[in-house]
Amino acid sequence: MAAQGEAQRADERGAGIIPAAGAGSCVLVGEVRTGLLAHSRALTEPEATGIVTLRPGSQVRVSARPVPHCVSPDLTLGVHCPVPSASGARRDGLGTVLSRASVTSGRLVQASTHGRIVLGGARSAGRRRPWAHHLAHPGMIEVGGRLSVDDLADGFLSTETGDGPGSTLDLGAVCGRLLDQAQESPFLDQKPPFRARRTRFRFALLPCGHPAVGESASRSESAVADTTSGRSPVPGHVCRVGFVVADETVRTLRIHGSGLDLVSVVGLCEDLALHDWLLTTVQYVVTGSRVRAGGGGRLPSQLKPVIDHLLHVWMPGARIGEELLPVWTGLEQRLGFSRQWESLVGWIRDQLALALLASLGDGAR
Amino acid sequence: MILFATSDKGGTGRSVTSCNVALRCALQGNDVCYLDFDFGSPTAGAILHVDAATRGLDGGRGLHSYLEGSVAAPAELDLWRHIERAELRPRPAGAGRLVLLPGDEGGGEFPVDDEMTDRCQRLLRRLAEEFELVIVDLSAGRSYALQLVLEVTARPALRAVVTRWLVFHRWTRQHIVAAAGLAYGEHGIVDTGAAKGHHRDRLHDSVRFVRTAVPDPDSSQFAGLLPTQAAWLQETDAELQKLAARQRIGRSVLLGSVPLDPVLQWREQLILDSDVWTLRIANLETSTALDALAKSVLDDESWEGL
Ligand SMILES: Nc1ncnc2c1ncn2[C@@H]1O[C@H](COP(=O)(O)OP(=O)(O)OP(=O)(O)O)[C@@H](O)[C@H]1O
Ligand SMILES: [Mg+2]
Repeated sequence: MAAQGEAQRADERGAGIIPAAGAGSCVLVGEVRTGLLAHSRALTEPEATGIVTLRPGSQVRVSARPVPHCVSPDLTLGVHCPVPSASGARRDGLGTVLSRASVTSGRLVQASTHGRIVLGGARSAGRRRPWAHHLAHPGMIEVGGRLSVDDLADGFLSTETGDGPGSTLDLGAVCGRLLDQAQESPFLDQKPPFRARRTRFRFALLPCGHPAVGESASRSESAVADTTSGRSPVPGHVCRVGFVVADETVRTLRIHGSGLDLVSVVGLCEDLALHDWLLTTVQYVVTGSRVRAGGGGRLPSQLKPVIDHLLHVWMPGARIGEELLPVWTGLEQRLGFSRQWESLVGWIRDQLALALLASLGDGAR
Repeated sequence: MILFATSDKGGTGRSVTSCNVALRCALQGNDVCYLDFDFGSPTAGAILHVDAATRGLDGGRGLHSYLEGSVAAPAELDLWRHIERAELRPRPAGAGRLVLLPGDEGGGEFPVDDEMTDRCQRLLRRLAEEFELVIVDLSAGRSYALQLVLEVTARPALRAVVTRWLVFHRWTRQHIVAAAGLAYGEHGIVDTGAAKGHHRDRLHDSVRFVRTAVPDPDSSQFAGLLPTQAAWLQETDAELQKLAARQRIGRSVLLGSVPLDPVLQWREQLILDSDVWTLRIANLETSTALDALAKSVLDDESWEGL
């Protein structure tokens, strides 16, 4: 992927909404990568702030509730390369993508990169606008030539893309590097309490419209929630959501909506990615300790770090605005994120109680 | 922990032994990944019974392509879905992750530039974040690959990560001297590492040795020997022990020793319980030694300073 010039903007976002399908269609695409901070204990707020201060003096946003959370300012990266396409059409995109890094609960680290791809817009083949134009619209990529929103979204969400080889727009590579950068921070002692795989969460926001061909036939664990009551798109409206667990570490989310605030959609995806990571990671540890349980009422040793570091981080939808709540509730109904979480936590609590009883019994003897 | 598997000479059993160690560590419940950094002859796929990568990956997604910069991340194969041995499918209960990062088919040794060094550093640090044990199989001798990893492990980003070294050698005079040379000799691991900014004593302390294909004079394998032959074998073994001690690669820095095995002698492969008990082709001693080696690799005590 060609990166052309890098600039940083502290505030002005690629703010905007997805216009109605038709003239100059627009698709928001992005990827979030989530991992466990490479540190032996939870970071304090100043430490976490240090991790996401990617440039000296840049302004970090901090919130203490409901869980401590700090976010770096957006980094703007210039891109000039073909955008993904399921059909293999090569359409050049020119513009910028935005990335940011965040730390949640002093324990989890995320990097996310997104871009708003404008299809068949004003930029016709052969006429290139100056970089100043693109820098004035951070997070926007203009694509010349014909390309349908579904072709683009399918290409982007398919697990085959990402990490090359090839020169297509690769948001995963951009946020992967950002996550590496955060994890390499000299503040971190590189001694996490346990090892956890990073997950990749790819998302696309498309205009409301006809369901894409084959969408409901998505692989493995998937959910398509229809949140439309009527067909007519009203401002701030989510029509449909499709979530796919593509493999052990890759998830995709496709949202059809109109009039949504893009910054909030990115925030929603980061929150979903965080909770999906929590569920995935705790599930993995619990599965392992079910098999390897020490017996004799002892607490399986792998559970301790999970109890210490992860259980209290679960706070779904806490930073999500009203208009996007249907996405959470839709996924909850189909996949039961919280039900799964509760059942894992319940099992861990039982183990704790058993361990406590066993130690009391030892004491009485 | 990142564990670098090295040897001075080729054909010592470095790859076969470390693949078996990777498997056993994963079976014991640890998350393990294995990197084939032997760019000239990536054999890990063949040893691990992965048909898709017998001579490395084709299609340019292997480690070589990643270091060169033609892909953003190298391919990672979940071995529980790729090992073509029925006993290991599906993933055995209680096993940790086992992931192979294969080399590229038709790769080769190559000089290292700064960008490659950066990419190598990022990859190793990320894998150390995600896996309990990261095994890196390096090419034999003082290769570019060895230079590269000594360089990146001296950098601040990786200094905090635990990195350790294994030198594999056969149980012969020449191999003992060569292994000591690779570790402590001129342009050896410690020398080169210190020049690149490693703390000399700490690096020195992080090196251990593994003896491969060691004939055991007491084993039933040699039961048919003439008394003169048996005595000679005993004597030679004692001499080699003395030589190893003189070369400073004696018992105190010995991490494990794998006996000469009929199966491994004929074929580079994983030794599973079924090879010992059902097929009865591999020796129980081999399996026991590999298990012990896997345990020592993960036991901090066996790496404590001297
Ligand atoms: N314990 C053993 N007993 C008998 N043969 C063995 C033993 N260990 C390894 N071998 C055999 O030795 C040969 C070399 O092994 P291997 O390919 O692992 O060595 P290597 O050091 O990785 O070589 P290279 O430098 O070519 O990569 C193989 O045929 C292997 O099966
Ligand atoms: Mg080899």
